[in-house]
Amino acid sequence: MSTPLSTPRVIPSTIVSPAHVHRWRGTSAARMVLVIILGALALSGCLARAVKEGGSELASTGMEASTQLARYYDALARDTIDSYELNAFREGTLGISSSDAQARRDKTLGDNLTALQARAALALQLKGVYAALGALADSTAPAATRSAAEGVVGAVLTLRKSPLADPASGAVKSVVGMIAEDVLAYVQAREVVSAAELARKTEAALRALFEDERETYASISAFRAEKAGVVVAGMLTRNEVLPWPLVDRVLVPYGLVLANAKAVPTDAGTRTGFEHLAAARTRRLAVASGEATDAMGGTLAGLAKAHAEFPARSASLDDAIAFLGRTRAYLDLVRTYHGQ
Amino acid sequence: MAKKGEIAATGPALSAEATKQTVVAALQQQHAFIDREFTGLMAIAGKDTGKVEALKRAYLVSYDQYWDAVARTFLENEPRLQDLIKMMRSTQKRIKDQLASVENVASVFQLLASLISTAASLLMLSSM
Repeated sequence: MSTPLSTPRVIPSTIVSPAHVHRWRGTSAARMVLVIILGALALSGCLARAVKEGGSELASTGMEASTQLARYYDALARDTIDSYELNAFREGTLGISSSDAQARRDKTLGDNLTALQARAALALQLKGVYAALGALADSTAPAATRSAAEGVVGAVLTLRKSPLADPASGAVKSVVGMIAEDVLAYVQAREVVSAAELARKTEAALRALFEDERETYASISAFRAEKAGVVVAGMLTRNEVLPWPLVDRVLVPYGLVLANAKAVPTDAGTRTGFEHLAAARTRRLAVASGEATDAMGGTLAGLAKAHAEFPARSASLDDAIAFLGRTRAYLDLVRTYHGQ
Repeated sequence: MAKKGEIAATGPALSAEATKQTVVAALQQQHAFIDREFTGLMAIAGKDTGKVEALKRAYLVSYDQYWDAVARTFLENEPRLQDLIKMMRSTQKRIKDQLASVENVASVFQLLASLISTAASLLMLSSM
């Protein structure tokens, strides 16, 4: 059936009443609001995921920094023990007796070792703080919430005896699940920012202690290096040790072997050369120990900057990671000096 | 201007903490110097027992002074250390609580889903 073009199509008033128009406008506005809310949720979801990733990276760097800090304190404790034992040997060779002060010295040694072990334990507690931050940032609760929320909607639809084959029910489940995930991701991100702030304050307090005691730490490493150097120099001078291993490594690429590796050098010039070589190695040990302190300080400072700039991903975190690499390398080197 | 015999200040005054630290470093260097030069100084002292004893005493005293200074630094910071231990524990607990609260939301949803599913199943069974 055709309708003349000139005749306007009359829509029955029962179909489009003012109430319908009003409802249509209301529905349209509600849809727009829904779209805006969904858009905002999607955006906040993206931002929340970025915060989560940043928090996770900050946590793993913080954990590694704490591990190296604990290693650093352990190395200082090792230096303290070495200094005590090397000094006992040195006093023996010099004919100096410290028997009067021995009990007091032992107590001082015990106190200093306890203090350093307490600091190492503190560093491991800081690691625990960052581990908790990492667990929070890496939590998959939002994704779990999404599937759980979808489950809730599915169950409600079933309860209302909605046809499960209805394509709309699947869409509703997805939308509700997405909203639930984004809302929880937002909540999680807010908690990550708050937890990172707590970790920042803790790291700052520990860093302040490190900075205040930094010169003491450096002096302990220097003391050990100097003492070892004097002891070794004395043994070389008295021909008590075979100095050849000091140059073994250098001869290998040339395919050279020592003429008599089991005899002390008879030439006075060679002996002086070895004494100088030992002194050079002592300086290198002192420098490595000092560098370990500087690298550790740099790591903590970089971590503090990365905290200050969080949740933004900053170059300071890369600085902290670079310093961490140096700290690890120096502590590995110091470990070889400790014969470990 | 510094009077004769006084050392003129060349920079800003050091804080108490920095002064303490400088003292520790100076004591370490003092012992290192005596240790390094001990044999040479003994040779100079020769048979003068007074000087020999003074030198041995300087060695022992400088060693003890240094390690006592290290111990003093640690002892003075002991209250800070105890505060830090408490701070670390409470921070860890607070962050773990935050994680628990985030994960609780997911578990509430899961519980709700299972409750409603059970109810739906019961309803379906009763309508059969």
